[in-house]
Amino acid sequence: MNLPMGLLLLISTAAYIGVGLAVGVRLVRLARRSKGFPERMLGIACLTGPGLVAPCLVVVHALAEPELLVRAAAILGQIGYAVFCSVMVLFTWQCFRPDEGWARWLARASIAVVVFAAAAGMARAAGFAQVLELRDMDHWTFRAIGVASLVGHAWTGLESFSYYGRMRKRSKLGLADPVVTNRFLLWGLVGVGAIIASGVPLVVGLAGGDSFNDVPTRLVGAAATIFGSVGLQLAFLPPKAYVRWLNARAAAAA
Amino acid sequence: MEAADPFQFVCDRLGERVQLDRLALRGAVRLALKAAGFEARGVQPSEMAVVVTRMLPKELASCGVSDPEAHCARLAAEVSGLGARAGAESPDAVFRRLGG
Repeated sequence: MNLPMGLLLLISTAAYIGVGLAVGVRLVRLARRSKGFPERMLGIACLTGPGLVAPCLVVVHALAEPELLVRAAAILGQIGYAVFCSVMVLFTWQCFRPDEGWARWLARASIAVVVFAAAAGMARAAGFAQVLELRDMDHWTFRAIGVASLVGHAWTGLESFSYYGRMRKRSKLGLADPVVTNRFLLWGLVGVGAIIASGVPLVVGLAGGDSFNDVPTRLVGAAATIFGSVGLQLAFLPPKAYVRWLNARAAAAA
Repeated sequence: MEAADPFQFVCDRLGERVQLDRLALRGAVRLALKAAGFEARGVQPSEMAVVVTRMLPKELASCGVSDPEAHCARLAAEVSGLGARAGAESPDAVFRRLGG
C-alpha cells in the first residue's frame, strides 16, 4: 500500500471515528433529556459503529499479539457490529414505520441474523479460529452481518429520500423547516455512503476477491466513508454557517 | 377543543355540502394531501387547513364541484379549530429533535 492510499485510509478512519463519536455523544445526551427512543438508538449506533467496531477492527488487523488483546478486540468488535446493526434497524422501524407489521418483522429478522452471526464470530474469536484468521473479512459471519447491515442502510436511505420528497412538497406551502428537510436528504446520503462502503467489499468478497487488500475496493470504501462522515456531521452537528445558508436559501426561494 | 381525525372531518363536512360520491370525494382529498406531501394518517389540523386552502380547490374543481374556493375557505376555518392529534411521533418531529 503506497503513502497516499495509506493517508486516505487514515483520514477516512479518523473522520468516521471522530464524527461518529461526536454525533453519538450528542445524541445520547439528548436521549437522556428527552427520553426519546430514536435518538437513543441512533446515538448508540454512532457510538458502537465508529466508536467500537472501527477501533477493534484496527487492532485485529494491525496486531498479531498479545493474543489475548487481539481476541478481546475481535469479540468486542463482533458485539459492537451486532449492536450497531440492531439499533440502526430499530431506529428506522420506530422513526418511519412504527405501526407497520412488515417493518417490525424486518427489524426482528435482521436482528436475529446479526445476533446469530455475531455469536458465531465471537466463538471464533474466543478460540475456534487462529488469531490471524480473525482478519478474514470474507468469513461468512462478517458477510451475514454485512448483508443485514446493507439491508438496514438501504431501508433507512430509501425511507429518508422518500420523506425528503414529501418535505420538499410541504416546503412549497411553508409547512416544512428547511433545515429539517435537508436533514432527511443528508441522512439518505449517509445511507448511500454506508451502502457503498460496506456493499462494495461484500460484493468483491462474494466474487472471490480479497476485499480487505484490494486497492480499488479500499479506495472506494474510504471515499464513501468520508462522504458519509461529512453527511453525518452536517445532519446532526451542522456548523452554524451551514444552517444559516440553508435558511437563507429557503427564504430566497419563498 | 375537539380532537378529531382532520381527514375524516374534511370528508364528512364536504360530503354534507357537495354533490360528489363518497369515494370520489375521499380520493380528491387524498390527492390534495399527496400533492402537499402528507398522508391522511397523521396529518395535523393546522396542516390540513393549509392543504384544504391551497390544494383542495383544484382537486374539487377537476371533479366538477362548483365554487370550490368558497367550500374550502369555510372548511379550512373549521378544521383549524380542531385540537391537535395525539399518536405516533412523525418522522419530521423526530428529525427536528435530532438536530438539537
